Amino acid sequence: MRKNGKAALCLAIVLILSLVLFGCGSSSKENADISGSPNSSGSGGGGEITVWIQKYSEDPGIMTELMDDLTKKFKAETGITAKYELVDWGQALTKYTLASTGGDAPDVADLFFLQSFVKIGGEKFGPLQINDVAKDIGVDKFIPASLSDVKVGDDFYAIPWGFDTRVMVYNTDHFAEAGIKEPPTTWDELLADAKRLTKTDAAGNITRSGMIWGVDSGRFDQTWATVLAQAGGKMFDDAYSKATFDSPEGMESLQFMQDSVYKYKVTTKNVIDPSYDSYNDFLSGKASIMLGATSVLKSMQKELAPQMEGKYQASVLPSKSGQGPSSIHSAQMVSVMKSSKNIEAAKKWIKFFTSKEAQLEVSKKLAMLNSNLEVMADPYFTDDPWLSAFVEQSKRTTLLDQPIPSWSQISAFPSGPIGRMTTNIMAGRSVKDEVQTAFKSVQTILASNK
Amino acid sequence: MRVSHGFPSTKWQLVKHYAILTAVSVIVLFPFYWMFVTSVKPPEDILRTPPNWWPTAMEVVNYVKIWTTIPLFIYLKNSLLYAALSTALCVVLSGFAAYSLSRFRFKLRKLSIMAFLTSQLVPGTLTIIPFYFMMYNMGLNNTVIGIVLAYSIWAVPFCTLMLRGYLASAIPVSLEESATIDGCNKLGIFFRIALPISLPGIVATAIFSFILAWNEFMWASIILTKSGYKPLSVGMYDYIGKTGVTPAISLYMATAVIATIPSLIVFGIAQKHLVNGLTAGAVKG
Repeated sequence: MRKNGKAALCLAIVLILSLVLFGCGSSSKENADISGSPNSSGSGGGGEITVWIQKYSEDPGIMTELMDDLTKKFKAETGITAKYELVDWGQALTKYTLASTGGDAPDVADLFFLQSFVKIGGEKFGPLQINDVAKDIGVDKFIPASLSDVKVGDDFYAIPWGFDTRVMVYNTDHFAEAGIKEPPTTWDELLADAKRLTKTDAAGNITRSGMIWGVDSGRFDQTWATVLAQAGGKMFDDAYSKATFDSPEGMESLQFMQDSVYKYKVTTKNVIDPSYDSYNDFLSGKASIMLGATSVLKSMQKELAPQMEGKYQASVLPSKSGQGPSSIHSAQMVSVMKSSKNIEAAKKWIKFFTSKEAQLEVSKKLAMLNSNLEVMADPYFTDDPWLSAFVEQSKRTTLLDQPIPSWSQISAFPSGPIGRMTTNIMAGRSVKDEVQTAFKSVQTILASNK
Repeated sequence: MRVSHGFPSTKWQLVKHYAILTAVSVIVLFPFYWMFVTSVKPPEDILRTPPNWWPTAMEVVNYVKIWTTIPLFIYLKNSLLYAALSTALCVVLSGFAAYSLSRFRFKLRKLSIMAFLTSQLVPGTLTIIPFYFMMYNMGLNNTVIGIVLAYSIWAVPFCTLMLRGYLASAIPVSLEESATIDGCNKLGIFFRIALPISLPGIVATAIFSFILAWNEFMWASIILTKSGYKPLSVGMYDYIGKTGVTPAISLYMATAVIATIPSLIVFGIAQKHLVNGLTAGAVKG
């Protein structure tokens, strides 16, 4: 009984300590402080808005520093307090879905799947039509492709800011060792180079992949979207009424990805493992070419593999013929939510946040491309060999997020038909069967959303 | 054929015994070892092929950096608070519920036990949306009460069933009958006899609900939209970027080490009672 008493006492001490910790170090005010901005001490005369934005920096400190600085400048300029919340990418879809169906919502949201949120939001919730803001800002300064991401029909529901595309990265030491002078521009060249670069052990197991696809958690759908573009295929017809990825180009693109593993044996079979991360594989020198890398690779290399400094380069992704689109793009966008109680202040934030000055700061701090052509014309982008490859790639892209309300359902991972199809094909299943199954599912989703 | 029971009697059996124990221990402990080693590795060691089993230099500075890279103290404090409050709530509610279910015969007793049991069969994800809007409409999102309620809702049924098993087997009915004869009322019996005797079961329940709350991720990630209320399990996500990966692996692992310590301490203090509490009533006789 005495021992029991001691255990209970220890447990009680732990419980009390945590209560004391709370009592001493916290109040609701403090809780609000870390979630907001340095300006949260007073709302001032200009009102207060809440801004939700995802984390675009791989280092959490950089994003906080950036948002602290921007909200401070916004306060000085307008007198409005912008309290920001950094939304985890893992929960962003759930949080915006809840926000667009009557749940907790911010005044300004860093949205994606715009078409879906406009539809599910209906009259009361979701993003607000902001044609007036678009007119005031002037949309001619944006990359035309980004504008299609932020419109529903002819109406603007968001303003673009960031720009995301995928490129090819290659290990320059491996290229020199194999005697390869230039990065490949066609699939034939890519395959020939990959075969020269691949290394195997005595049993035939790959010890160094000639090429790998950009993948983590066994997710291939976005990379496949680039390969589909490379083959000259499209996901949907021009009216977005019918899926077209069962076309010969669609089949060829999927077969090419699968063959790289099972037929040509230039890609490690590990790609299908959910714990496999192509960035880690490339940065640890276990792969020579990575197809579909984002600009984040640079910051990862600096943190995780400083020994790789100067040993890799980026270039435009190859396509089947060497011409035409070879990658995908998507725009980051900001919207005002219909449930906002301070719509005018929210619109002011959008104008401020998408301005050239603010976006140049955003791009530099987060190492991101931008949808604003004036920002992309800055020497920061044009003079940097790494970023200029992304600028070049941005001229040969197709849309990643399709402008249809059911896109969030179709592209959901792992439950959506496209993600399931690509993962199954990369696991070695029949391309024809998987395409047929996915095609039927997509058509059913399209029909149910008409 | 010689049959041995309990501890191995021959040298060979002893060797086999320890070989299996060692193998299992290595498998179980390796992830913890790797977590710690990665937390002190210099950047150039992290993706090295083949990997270094021990870091070339110890980057202890990671354990300093983590307190400023993310608001770790606040996350840690939140986790402790939520875990402590939901443990307290679970123990009180489960204690009363388990005692009444194990001792009293009333009309809806069996139905109540079935209801507790059935609640464990419902996947948590199914109830997220309705629960979220219930919480939201009651103004409980982004509140300590809301999060503690959300945690306790899932823990109370299991804790009640666990404690009921313990109370039914550990406390002889005759003891309570004697107390009744001596003039003790039902509440007196509960507080003066049942409670002190069932302390191992209560400690086990408390540890269980503490660890459940400490590890909880789903609820906190859904109902909290203000960073200031994040527990550590959700706050650690601050390291994960858009691509689902983090370059700050060492910092991430150092934070994971810190996150593991409180539950290790709680478990270490009362692990004996956890085993006793869980196994009581498992066998008849």
